[in-house]
Amino acid sequence: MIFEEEIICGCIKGDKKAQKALYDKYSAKMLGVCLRYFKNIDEAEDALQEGFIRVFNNIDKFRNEGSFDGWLRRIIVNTALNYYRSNLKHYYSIDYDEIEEVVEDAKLSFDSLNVEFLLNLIQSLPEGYRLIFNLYEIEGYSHKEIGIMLGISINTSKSQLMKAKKYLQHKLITKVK
Amino acid sequence: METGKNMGDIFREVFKDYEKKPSDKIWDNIENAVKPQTVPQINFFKPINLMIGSAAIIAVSILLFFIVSNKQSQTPRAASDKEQLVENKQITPIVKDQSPLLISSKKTNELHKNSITIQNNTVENNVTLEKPVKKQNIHDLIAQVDNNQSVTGDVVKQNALNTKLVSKATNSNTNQKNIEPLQSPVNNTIVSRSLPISTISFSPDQTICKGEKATLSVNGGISFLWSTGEKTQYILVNPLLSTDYSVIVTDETGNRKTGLITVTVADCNAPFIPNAFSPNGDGNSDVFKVYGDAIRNFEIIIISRSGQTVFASKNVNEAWDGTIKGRPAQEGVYVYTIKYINELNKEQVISGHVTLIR
Repeated sequence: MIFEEEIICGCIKGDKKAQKALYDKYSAKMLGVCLRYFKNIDEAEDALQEGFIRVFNNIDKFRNEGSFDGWLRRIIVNTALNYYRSNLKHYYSIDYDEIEEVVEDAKLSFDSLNVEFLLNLIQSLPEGYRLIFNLYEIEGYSHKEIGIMLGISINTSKSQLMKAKKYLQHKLITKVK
Repeated sequence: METGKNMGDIFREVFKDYEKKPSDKIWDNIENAVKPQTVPQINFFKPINLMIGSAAIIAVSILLFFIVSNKQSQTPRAASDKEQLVENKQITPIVKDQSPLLISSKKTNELHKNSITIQNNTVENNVTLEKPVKKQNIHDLIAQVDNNQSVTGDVVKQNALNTKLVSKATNSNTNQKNIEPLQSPVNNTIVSRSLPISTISFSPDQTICKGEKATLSVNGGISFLWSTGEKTQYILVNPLLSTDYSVIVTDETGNRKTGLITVTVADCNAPFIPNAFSPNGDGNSDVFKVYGDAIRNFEIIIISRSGQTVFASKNVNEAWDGTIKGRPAQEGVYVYTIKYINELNKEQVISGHVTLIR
């Protein structure tokens, strides 16, 4: 951990080497986070870039109270959210017939599914579903927090999550078939 | 696969350690965009640095104290003895306020002790003392220590004035009468610190419908500063979006407490969608339509159970009369999906079913 503290201290002083070290240490992991929020790698990399710029410009505000990893992730996720908001109108919305799809029970082993496949699934989710699924299921935010972050009600968050899950299930079944 | 819960766990597990290396150009872009920070900042991450700095200041100050004290005792001026007497009496009360040690002697050893006490207090508040100390005499040193002390309290000005006068008094050999009344503000500093923190509480988080008002309040305290800029104990807010309000409360003793109250705004103005209609021409519920205000970009699609689209519209005021291509539709259940942008600029999708009765 001393290593990490030194890197952070260096970054606070604006040391280029420390910034590069921090980037090398976390960029792959954070791109992994960004990829879940965007349809393709280009958008994810854009958000990653913006996120790291924010991290470096604000790293003096990190007070070592929680884990740096968590702090960094929060900034990256927030950047992704902002990015999403500013591009909101460009995204297509979900087709109606896809919502009404009845989800059947299927016997499916998740063990056989690899990360890339699941990532593609998440990326294929309509924008709003993807956001809430990521925030709730993977990042672990509560519906209340998500409501505040996205400016929606708790119930909207809950129902969107349910729909996202149904959608994923449906996609899983279709792909396996 | 089971529904819901398991799926989230599996995704979480799979993505926990997922990494992907970004392309090289990303770092170049970041490097170019990050503003250079030329001023190195104090490193707060390692308490050891702070301790080393503090120790250095203490050491330098003690050394200075010795040198200055010795110089003064050796001054061949006629009034030097008297001067020192006055001086010690002046120093003593100030020191006494800052530490529980009782010092009345004029011996150098005692002064030495005093100086340590002062410095220990200084360390908490300020680490920039080092340079100015070297050039100044002992009175200014005390003045400075005192000033640094009072940064946290409310008597900065008083203390600054006080210490200046103390220094002057010493230099001009003034008698003690002038000095005594000046010592009371110093005492105040200490008193304000020793009081216990009073209890301040904040009204709980609230959820309101859009358009409603919420009253936020603080219990206790004498002065308030809300994030809205208001300075009252109660504020009335009317947010369109869920908002966090913060408030800084100061109590009688100058202690401050910050509170955060979250007002969650719920979208209560959901449109009314009937669940049945009877297009039989009797004048009651002959058409199916959505009733709602503040709806934008409205879209509706109604689908029959066989999957046929029976009605589609982008106008919230347009109603379905229960016909398909001019022919009366069958009795039964029809599924609709409605999409619109609500007052909060959020897209809403509502699905449900409506029963056609003849």
